[in-house]
Amino acid sequence: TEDFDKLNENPNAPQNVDPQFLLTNIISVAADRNAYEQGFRLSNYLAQFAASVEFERIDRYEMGSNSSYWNTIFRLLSDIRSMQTLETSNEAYVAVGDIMASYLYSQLTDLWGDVPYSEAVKALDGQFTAKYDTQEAIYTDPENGILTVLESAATRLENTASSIQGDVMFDNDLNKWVRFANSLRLRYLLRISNRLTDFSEIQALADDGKLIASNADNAVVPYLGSAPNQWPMSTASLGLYQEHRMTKTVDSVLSLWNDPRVTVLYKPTQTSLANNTPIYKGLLNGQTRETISAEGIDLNDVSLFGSIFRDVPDGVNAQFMQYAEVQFALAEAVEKNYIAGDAATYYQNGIAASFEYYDVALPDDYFTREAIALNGADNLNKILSQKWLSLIGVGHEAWFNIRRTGVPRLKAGPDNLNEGKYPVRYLYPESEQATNKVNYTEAVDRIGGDNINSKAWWEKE
Amino acid sequence: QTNTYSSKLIGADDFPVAYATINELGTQNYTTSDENGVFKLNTDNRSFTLHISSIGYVSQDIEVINGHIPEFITIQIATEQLDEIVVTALGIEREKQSLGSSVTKVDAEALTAVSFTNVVNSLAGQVAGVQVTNGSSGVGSSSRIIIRGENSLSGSNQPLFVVDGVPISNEQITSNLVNDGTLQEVDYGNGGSEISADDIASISILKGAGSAALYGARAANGVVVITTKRGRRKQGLGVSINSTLTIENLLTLPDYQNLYGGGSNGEYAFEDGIGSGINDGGISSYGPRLDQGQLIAQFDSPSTDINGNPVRAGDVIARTFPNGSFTEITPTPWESRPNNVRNFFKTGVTTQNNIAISSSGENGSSRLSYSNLRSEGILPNTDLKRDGFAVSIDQVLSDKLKARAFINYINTRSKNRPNLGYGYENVLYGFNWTGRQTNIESLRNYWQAGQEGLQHYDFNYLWLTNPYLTLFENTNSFTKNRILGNASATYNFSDKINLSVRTGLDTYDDARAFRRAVSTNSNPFGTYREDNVRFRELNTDILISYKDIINEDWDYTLSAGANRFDQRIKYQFSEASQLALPGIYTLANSRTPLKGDSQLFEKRIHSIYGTGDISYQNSVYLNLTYRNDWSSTLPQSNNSFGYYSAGLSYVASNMFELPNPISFLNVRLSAASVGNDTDPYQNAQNFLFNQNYGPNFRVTNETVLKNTNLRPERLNALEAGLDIRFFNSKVQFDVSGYQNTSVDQIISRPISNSSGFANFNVNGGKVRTRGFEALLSAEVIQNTNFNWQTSMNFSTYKSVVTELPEGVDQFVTGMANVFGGSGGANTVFYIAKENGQVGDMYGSGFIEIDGQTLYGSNGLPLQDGTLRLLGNYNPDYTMGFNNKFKYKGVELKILVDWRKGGTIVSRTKALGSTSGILKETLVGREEGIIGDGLVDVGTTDNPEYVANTTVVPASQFYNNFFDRGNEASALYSASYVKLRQVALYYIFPDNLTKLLGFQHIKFGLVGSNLLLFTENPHFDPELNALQETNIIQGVEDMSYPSTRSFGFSLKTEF
Repeated sequence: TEDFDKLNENPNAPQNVDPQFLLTNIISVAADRNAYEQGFRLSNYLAQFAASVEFERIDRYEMGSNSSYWNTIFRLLSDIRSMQTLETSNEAYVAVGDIMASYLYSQLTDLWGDVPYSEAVKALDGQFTAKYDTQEAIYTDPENGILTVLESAATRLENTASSIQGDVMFDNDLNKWVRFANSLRLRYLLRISNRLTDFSEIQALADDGKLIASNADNAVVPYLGSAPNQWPMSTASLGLYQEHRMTKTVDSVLSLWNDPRVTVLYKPTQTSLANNTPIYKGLLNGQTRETISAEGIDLNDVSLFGSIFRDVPDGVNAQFMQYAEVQFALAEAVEKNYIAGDAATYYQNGIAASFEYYDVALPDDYFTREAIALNGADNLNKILSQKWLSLIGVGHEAWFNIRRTGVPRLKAGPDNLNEGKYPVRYLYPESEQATNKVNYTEAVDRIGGDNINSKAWWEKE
Repeated sequence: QTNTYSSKLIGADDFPVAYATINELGTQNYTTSDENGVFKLNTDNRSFTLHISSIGYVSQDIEVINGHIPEFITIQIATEQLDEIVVTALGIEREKQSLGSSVTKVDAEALTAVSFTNVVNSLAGQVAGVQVTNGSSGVGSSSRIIIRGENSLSGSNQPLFVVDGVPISNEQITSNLVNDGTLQEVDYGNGGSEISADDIASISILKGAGSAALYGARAANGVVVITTKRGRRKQGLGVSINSTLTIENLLTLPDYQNLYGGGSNGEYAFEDGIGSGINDGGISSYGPRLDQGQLIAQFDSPSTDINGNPVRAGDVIARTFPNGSFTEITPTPWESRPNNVRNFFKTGVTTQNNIAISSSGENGSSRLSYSNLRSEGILPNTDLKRDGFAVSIDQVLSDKLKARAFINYINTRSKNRPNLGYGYENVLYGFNWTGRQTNIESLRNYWQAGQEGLQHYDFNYLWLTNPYLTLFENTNSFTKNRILGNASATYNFSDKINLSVRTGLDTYDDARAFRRAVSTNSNPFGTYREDNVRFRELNTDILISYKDIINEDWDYTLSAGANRFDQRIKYQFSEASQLALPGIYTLANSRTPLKGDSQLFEKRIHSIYGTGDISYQNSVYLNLTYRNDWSSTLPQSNNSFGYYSAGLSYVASNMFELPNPISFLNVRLSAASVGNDTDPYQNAQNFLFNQNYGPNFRVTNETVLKNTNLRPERLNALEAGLDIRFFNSKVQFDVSGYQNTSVDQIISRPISNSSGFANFNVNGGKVRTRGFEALLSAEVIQNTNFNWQTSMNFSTYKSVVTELPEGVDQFVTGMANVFGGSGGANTVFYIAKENGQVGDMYGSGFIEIDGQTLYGSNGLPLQDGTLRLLGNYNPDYTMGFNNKFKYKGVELKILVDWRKGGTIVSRTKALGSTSGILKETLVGREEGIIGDGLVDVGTTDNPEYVANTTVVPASQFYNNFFDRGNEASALYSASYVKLRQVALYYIFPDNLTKLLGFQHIKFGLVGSNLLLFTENPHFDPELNALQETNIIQGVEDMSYPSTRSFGFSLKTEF
């Protein structure tokens, strides 16, 4: 039996790999899941960029547990851990891994609340049942909180001599990773801003300049023309595509702004095309097919998502963060007096960046329009509404902002299944009840019940 | 006056009984039967008794009164009686009474009375403690067999299959389709099903670990020992031909409503099937009432193309003007079509033929057989074809050297096997979402006008694919070539000592191809994929035996041997995920880079074993065995494990004269401890390949955390049994009680994903199964002309988790998806809690207040994600009731089986209620529904519950109540009673048989699955479901209807 060891060596898969292959996987899989399943298929309903006509019950606030994303995130975190600990890893991979991990953990806590963090991804150390950390600790723990980790990762990258490969987002440009890390830090500082009293870190970020500085710095991963890296909606069943309709909410906002981005984001209604007078029209969120039918709504008279979301495999990017969001964040921070600066400049930069991102010409008079120009009382609403629209590719970021700021003010649809309340989280995956029951129960008691209305730390009054 | 009396002796195996001795009782008047079993006896008497005896047959007395001698006399085969010989481990034949643990033998007659296409199915209901479940895709489906419940918390729990002492593969190596995203599961059948029942002499079921221990690791779940037919013991040439023709039709079908057609809110009109009409993008059946004389535009209503030529409304492309508007549709009557789904199914036709030539000479015998199976499934364009050649040779090479060989070549193929599971590729899923008015027949011409090969024709283009396109174009074909065989040689050094060497091979190559036409819902560009499975298993044994006596009371046997097991599985696939050109199915025709994988799995086990038997006065038997395995799959330091068994049998009736009416009494005891290993490559962590991102290569971690400290698992078994017979063994009562304790099980335990892995391979847990089996059989009537044999078997067991691994409060042993939507992943969890039962299923349901469902202010039930116990999938008990009647040349066999208890979570119930196709969704259609339960009218801090009074439209109510997230609302009991087998045979009279040139002709009407009684109106609770690559328990996943089968059977010999 001396040869048994050799016989039992897996010939189908390696035990050792170069970290770059893990890095490509981490970035591309995270980007795709973020953009398609989360951003487009689920959260666009919550942000009211999309309305369902029959089957997507999340539009009626039956949230479910979104467990496949939970599982994917932890699997990617496991890949990050491997990438960071391989013998051939280096300081740059470690820092980039920390940035991606921070991003993924923030997704977890913003989607579910308290989640496993400090004890997570430790099966290799014999830790199978991780406790759930509080959202406050996940973001702000001075030792290992997301904000600290991002800051030190950026610092390390600025000073390292190491390099990375396999980076399909920034083409191995560590400088862009620094900007991404800092921009994420800005995003999260703003997210927890209701809980902050000291805004100097935001000011420092605004002053320092090492943020995403143009669309060229965007944290986006392109979809490709050929399988398996195509935008999944381009090959999905027609029914799935048609389940995503333009909403009354987005329709009213874009009409108010007379915004030409509508031509890229949505398609004119079928009826209007047949009549040679293309118009865009939205559908009220949260209606059952019966209600739609009873209301006499002709679905040919409702817009679908634009060609870039369906008719070509590489019409959209999988995005983590755009330049526009950074500028809107700074505009909000100024407007709220967290920092000093000119809100209007940031605001207009953000809008211009969003137009540029969708390759739509910015109308000359856009900034002077009544509904657009910052002219006093309604400024914050305008900034946050523009920011909301710019997040149409990542609906959950829009959802987090709505939960934090209440802008835009959304109404639950008539057939919602949540007693008219706007949901603020997913249920924990059922598998946690089965496999991590003690810690699950402790967390559930702490957050006020495993239901979709238990508010997160940063959004509580 | 001397008369000549003549009759023909036929064995229960249908062979004539040649050279039997016939004695007129009380006289010295003897005669013998000729080679055709015919004898003549001359006597002066008109009333007398014949005593018939023949080696291998039970001696029998036949009373002749007034000269009436029966035309045929059936003689029972001796092996069914006291000195029944059964084949135990390693092909060693032993007297049943000498065994310490339970073995049940099923003979050829019982296997072939009703010719099942899957020999495993013929065991259903026949053997106590054996549970068989069918796959749902018709002839060629996998059947799962479980002996004495499930010992292991994970793994298939299937017994080892052995042919002539050598293991073969009964596995189903499925294609890994689900991870592919667009192709659904396909069942290719279990390996054991491919052996023709006509080539099988008998099957012994070794139930207890005690009798199976010598087979090693894979025998922990019992062994199905198949003994193939050999050449005849008699001289000369024998030919037998057996043919069966059966037709299959539906036994079950969901109970559909026929009052409301497709649509929502009572409205529907077709325009383009994507929503331009009224609700024509929807697929539920809450539309206008049927048969009210209404005319409504439907997909098959007449219309014209834009040039005015007649087309069907569903020919949408031809009907679309350049500006996007459509031509007019002429509405047609909105009528109920109660049989639209039923008529979609065809009558299945299955023929099975076997011709066997057997010959025997001075130095040996041989048998050559050809079997074929041709089956057209009940689903259009599905089939299964099988051809098998089997050769067996027994040769005496010298005084001391004997050799035998068996080789079986089997070719199995199909142009199309149906897809299973959740999604439109399963046409039954499609029918669930097909408006009840739909004329499914009119979908048969499945291309749109002018779009042949490019765009299918349908009533809905959003979610479904025309079922005829699915079955005729989107095919899953395969061709499997398999060779299994064994050869052995035995050298007798002396009367006492012999050496035998045996080697067995099972190898096959299974080539599968999957086609998906362009315009298919989830594969709009079409797909082509090829899978290849190459399997090889080689077993080689050497065994030396010594047999001697100590004195006339004591004799003993000692044997020692060694075995080497090699298994090699190669699995590969390549896929063109999007076709470049429609309709051409080759890997070269790909518009995207080919997808593919190849994997090799190798495993080796070395073993040594020894066994010793000692017996005293043929009444006390002691058997001891020992085996040690070294498996390549376990860590080197832990890869050796031993097995031991001890069996004690005491045949009291051979030692003492027992009081009447007891004629036989046997008590048996056995204890065994057997080990088990695991799958290859479980000792080191690997990275998996992901497909490239552009030119960038990607790898990711496995989801399973490996364990370098795995130990072999162990099953400790205890068994006690009693076999008592009365009235000259006419009544037999056999009971067994057993306890199997499984410790250190190797399971891939689901763990919290937050740990970074989804499963962890671990030893742990202790499961104790206690069970009880009983068999009562009787020859109720046995006289010259009429014979009635009856038997009843009963079994029950309970598996309890008695210990969980250190630090684990509960243990998830598996899961089955009930709904994998994007927002939720609704899952049935199999959770082992301490003192919980194996098979406990957990899922979510509604919030309950004091046992009453809580409703929201909108009148809809409130969901609760908390897992609760749904039930257990194991039966409380199962029973089989077998009867054989014989009147002159007519035989009737009836087998009924009954399963009591067990829970099924049904997707058909959940989906069919949501869609409004099931009959029970008629309740409340007009007046709405007030859900039975409470509503909270208080505040968060001070809830106040009052009865719910809100009326909700039926569609809303069913949509929510049967939402796939609420597993608790779609439960059924899995109890049933089935009329499993009926066979009525007529044995042709001798003179006619002779006239036709035959020795023996038997013609019968046979049927299986003829009647089903169960509380569940929609499907057969017995069917199993296939999810991903596993057969899952307790979950019905849009199963196909089960079938009733009946037809003719002809068995001849000349």
